[in-house]
Amino acid sequence: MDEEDQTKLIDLVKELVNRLLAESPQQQNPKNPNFEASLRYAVRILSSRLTPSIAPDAAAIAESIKRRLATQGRSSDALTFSDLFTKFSAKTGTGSVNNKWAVVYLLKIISDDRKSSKNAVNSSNLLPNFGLDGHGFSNGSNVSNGKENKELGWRNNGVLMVSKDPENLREIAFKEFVNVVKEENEVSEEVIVRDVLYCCQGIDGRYVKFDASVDGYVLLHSVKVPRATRIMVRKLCELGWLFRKVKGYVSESMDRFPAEDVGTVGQAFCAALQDELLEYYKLLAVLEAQAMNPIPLVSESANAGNYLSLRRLSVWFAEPMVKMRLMAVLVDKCRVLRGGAMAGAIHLHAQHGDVLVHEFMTRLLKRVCSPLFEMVRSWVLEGELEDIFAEFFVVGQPVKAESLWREGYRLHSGMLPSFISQSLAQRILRTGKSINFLRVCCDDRGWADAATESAAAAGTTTRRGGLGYGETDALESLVIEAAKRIDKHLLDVIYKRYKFKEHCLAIKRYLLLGQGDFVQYLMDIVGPELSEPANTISSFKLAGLLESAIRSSNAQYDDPDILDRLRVKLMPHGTGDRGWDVFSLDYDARVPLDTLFTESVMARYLKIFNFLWKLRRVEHALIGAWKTMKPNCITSHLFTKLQHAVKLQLLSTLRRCQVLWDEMNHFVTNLQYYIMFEVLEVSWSNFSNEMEVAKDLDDLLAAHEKYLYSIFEKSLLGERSQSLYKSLFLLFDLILQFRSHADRLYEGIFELQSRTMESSLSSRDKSKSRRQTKDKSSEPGSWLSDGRKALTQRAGEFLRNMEQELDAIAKEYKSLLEGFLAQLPVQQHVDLKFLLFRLDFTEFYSQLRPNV
Amino acid sequence: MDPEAARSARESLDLAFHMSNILDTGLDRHTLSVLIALCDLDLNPEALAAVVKELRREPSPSSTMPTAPP
Amino acid sequence: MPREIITLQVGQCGNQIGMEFWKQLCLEHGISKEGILEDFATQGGDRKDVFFYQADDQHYIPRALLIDLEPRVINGIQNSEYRNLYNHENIFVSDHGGGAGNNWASGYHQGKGVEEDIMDMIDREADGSDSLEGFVLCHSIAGGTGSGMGSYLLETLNDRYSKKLVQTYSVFPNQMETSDVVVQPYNSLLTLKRLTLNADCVVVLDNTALNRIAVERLHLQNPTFGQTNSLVSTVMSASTTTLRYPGYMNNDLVGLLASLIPTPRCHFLMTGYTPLTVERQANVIRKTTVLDVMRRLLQTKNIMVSSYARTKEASQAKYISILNIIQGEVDPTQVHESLQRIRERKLVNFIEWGPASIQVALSRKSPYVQTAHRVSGLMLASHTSIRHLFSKCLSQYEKLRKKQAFLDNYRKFPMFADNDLSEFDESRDIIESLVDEYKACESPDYIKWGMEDPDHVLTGEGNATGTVDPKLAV
Repeated sequence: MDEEDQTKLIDLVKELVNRLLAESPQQQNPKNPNFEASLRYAVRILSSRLTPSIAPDAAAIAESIKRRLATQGRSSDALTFSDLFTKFSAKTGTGSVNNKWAVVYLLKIISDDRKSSKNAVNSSNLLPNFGLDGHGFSNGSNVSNGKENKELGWRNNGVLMVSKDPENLREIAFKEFVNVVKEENEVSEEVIVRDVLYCCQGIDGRYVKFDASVDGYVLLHSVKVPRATRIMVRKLCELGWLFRKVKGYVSESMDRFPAEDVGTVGQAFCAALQDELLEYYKLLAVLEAQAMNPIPLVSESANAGNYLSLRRLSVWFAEPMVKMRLMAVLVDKCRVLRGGAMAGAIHLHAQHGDVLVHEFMTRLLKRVCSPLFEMVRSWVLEGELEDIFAEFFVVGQPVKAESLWREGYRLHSGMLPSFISQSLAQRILRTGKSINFLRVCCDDRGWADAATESAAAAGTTTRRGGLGYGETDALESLVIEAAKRIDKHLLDVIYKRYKFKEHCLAIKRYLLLGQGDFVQYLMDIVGPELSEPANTISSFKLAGLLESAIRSSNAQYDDPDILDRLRVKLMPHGTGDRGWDVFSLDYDARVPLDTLFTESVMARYLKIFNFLWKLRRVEHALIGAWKTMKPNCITSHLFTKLQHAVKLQLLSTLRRCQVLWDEMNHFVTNLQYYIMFEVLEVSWSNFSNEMEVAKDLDDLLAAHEKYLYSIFEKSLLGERSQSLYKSLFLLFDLILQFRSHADRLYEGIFELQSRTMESSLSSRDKSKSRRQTKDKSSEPGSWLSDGRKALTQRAGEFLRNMEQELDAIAKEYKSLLEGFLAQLPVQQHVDLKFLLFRLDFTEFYSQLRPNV
Repeated sequence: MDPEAARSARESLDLAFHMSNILDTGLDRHTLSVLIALCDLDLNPEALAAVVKELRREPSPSSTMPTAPP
Repeated sequence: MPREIITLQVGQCGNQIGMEFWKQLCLEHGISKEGILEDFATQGGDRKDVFFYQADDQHYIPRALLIDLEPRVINGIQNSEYRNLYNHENIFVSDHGGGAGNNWASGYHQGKGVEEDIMDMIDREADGSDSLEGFVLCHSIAGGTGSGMGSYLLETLNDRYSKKLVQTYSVFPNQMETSDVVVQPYNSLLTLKRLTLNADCVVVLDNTALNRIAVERLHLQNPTFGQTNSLVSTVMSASTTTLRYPGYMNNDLVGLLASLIPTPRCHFLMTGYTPLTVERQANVIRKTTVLDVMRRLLQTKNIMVSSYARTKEASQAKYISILNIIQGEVDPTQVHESLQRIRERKLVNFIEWGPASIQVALSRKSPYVQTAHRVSGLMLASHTSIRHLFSKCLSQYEKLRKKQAFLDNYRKFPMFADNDLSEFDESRDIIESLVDEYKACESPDYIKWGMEDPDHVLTGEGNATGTVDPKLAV
């Protein structure tokens, strides 16, 4: 370096210092004492002869800047920069910049410094201060004093020696001390510091080496140093140990992928770690340079600045140590983890009070989570599971279309990072599932528009990489928007295209017997068939009868699609079963509605059908009985010619039969009213309301489940109603038994009547006969003929028997009914007070038994 | 300095200044020109950066550096 | 198999109320005056084929027989806008057109004379239906044709179609006015016997009460027959809604009636309807809830049968059965609440010899008929107080009979020939025993009733033991 350059250099440094200080208004004055101090400081830094820690490759630096800009989302800046750089490097010849890479590199560092000083809260605190204060400087003109001094400065590695009085006694004393130190320490501190720096890059030094037995870097035992130094070295070298661990993990993982499933999250993690290590290397480079400076003696320490002692090193290491420890911990934690689990594990460490740690972790997590968030994005907007390494918290499995909704996808809680709440995760799961359901089961394309809309509404573009850690709010809002629209679209498809409500109504009409006229005809025409043994029943024939029941009832006007789904189903039968026991109606739900009407749902519907069908059959039987004893059959017939005792018997048997009929009919009718109002209609009305407010398919499933459950339980079909249900069926059977008795009674009566008519009114005109009867009574002789006597006797016997049988039925009925009624109020699981209220509306039963 | 060289120098400075702005270094044009000159004298850019950083340092309680507003 | 119902409208009154009934049904089903389905009537869900059948040209034709012994009313129908609605083969007007002269015996006798013609018509209608449920007879009991010929038809139907239901809508004469038909009590008594023996269900429409309702509830000064008839058609159409709009329950007539008539003899039903309006009358729109409707239906003032009971007797009266048919937008949960309130307030007295309850059927309202009311309700009930109406008939009969008045008109006909008035006595006994049975129903011991005197109860033929009041025997 020639003289001219030296002068120029000094001037330029002065100017630089001046400019830099000038940025602050109160320091405009170059005479400011600060100026001198700053100048000295600047010279000292500059003369530290630091060698750049990177190769002088301008293009590489520019490339790195460009990438950095691009990843910050400043792609246009990146392009501009690239353009500028190309022009800049193309300038050659006089007047152009010679040391182009240095300029670019300089800009990069300054830029980075500014950024980190903005991000970190004054990270400079952690850097040692270069003793900028003016203490120890006898005057402020040292630097400007002359070339010699400057030369010396350069030669002495930038440590400006201040001439002192050699006679100074303190100085002498210190020199003595230095000698003692030198004698005590075989190896100088500078060497140890350099060794430590090596170790911290995972390389054994001359004296400090890795000792596998203690799993750490230690100073060789052969080296004679004070114990404190040894401990210090040990402490400082922890950084090396941690570095080894981190570095080991990174290179191990790098080696593994893409062959093995480190996973995209793992890759991102490695990349982030590597970037952190890069920062670390930079620091080490600076430190290594400093380590070349000799450590001044204690006496010199006051003004010596840029050197490294172990102690200084420990200060330098404070921050990297924290980071490195964190990284090491994470590496440990994540060694066996992947995907969401890994992100979750890392997230657990981000909750840290230390701002430094927190920010470090946030930076790391942003990188780590980005693949994960990308998976969420493509799942909720496209329904795609882009998860070759099984890292996502939603997992799919191949299933049949009807089970897609319930079993096709589930949350893998192990892969669910804790920063995503369970409810959000459920929402994410459902949204993607809805898309797949629409795609696979509903053959729908309309969801894509809904997805686009949601992305627009959430303010996030649908492109990749739009989301990151720390933007959980943005993620949530995207998910909510997507869920809202996709769910709505799905429900629209289910309601409008697949007519869910119409099918529910159809099931209510046919399987739950709501279409009364249809049910009646069906009962009429399949009745005779169903009285046959179950094994002789032809389901083909029944299907034909079903068809004609449809045609002759209002069901014929129903949607053909609905009618087409209505089938006869015969349950498996046991020995002795009649057709009544096995007959059932079935409804073919088909994809996609079979997701709602699953096999188990349909099985419950069929159970309800069987119950209602039985109830209807009993009602039908009672109505049949009424028809045989209907008013104009009974009142118009003439029984006047009967013996008084027989007449009395007839009267009492008939009354017995009618009153018993009335009681049974009351029971069955009110049970029917209960079923209609309290069970079917109320459940339906609740279900309709819930259908209105259902926001997604799960809501709808839940509402339908509730509807079905409510009907099932209230119809006493539930597990806990077993004993009630049994009593009910005993009652039903008894009523059917009553019906056949009543039929027999009336057959007998009609026969009796026609016989008496025959014998007394054979040839007479009807109207005349009426008059004749009166005459008859005045001729009691004719009643005593033999045939009549036998007839009268037989009639009396028949009626007596019938009355006894009816009495027996009445008695059994009474006890069964009482048992049934007594059970009603004690049912805990289902509210039957409405039923009891109806059955005992006039308190007829509670008055009979006041204790009820 | 011939006018050709002067123009080339100005253009180079313009380009550098533009880059500097993109990178948000906070350097003004003049300071930048000084720094370029220093670089041309083969000074270590890391050291130069350190000077810029140190002398522009934001004040902090633990720093004995005279305060300079950012 | 729509469980068809064939309507027989007999006599002047029968044809008038029948006509109103068909008008109402056409409106509710969206069928035009010509029997063609209106373009707007696409909502479906209703069952038209219970009361109509479709001709080959898709015309809806009422399953109705229009029968009269004099042509006035039927001619009126045939000259009205509805002339093309009916099947002309189903219209019977006697050849001589002289009517029955308000004489039951004449009507009955003429009925017998034309039995074959009419039964041919009935058989044809019955053959035209898949599963005939029964017949509905519309008539009055006071005149000659509806009462006499109606009675004959009842007997014949009972014979020929004993398995089918026979329901009647029977108009009882206004007891408050002096009728121009002086023999009303005779006619009523004789008809009542057939209604007791040969009908399965009689819906009693008491002109006295209908008039009262028209005056008091509808604020009409002098209600016309047309106005009271529209009340009747309202009741008739409302009582058939569950048959015409199928639901979970009460889809056929027999199901509807069985629960209402637990004891065969007590098959006379009272009706109540609320809120009442007559055609084109702008009524005050009332807030109507299910409870309101059910409560109002239990109020005497809305019931279409007059109560002749004295206070003491009235308090003894009991409901044997009640069915409320509620039409309109009804939340099913309100039904239970209403029932609870009615029981809490003890608004209704039921028989004590068996269980009973208020049955409630919800039915759709026709989408084609606009009404001012959200909810309307019809009550069909069997109530023991109806016996007082019969007692009133009996006592009026007794008065006339004591005077031996107007009997000659009857003696002209075979049934009463040779001064054989036993038909009157028989009828009287039957009605008396009917009154007794209703009375017995008011006691908790109904089951044991009549066991001491079975003859009295079982009587179909007057008093078999011959204990006819000697005063009555002529």
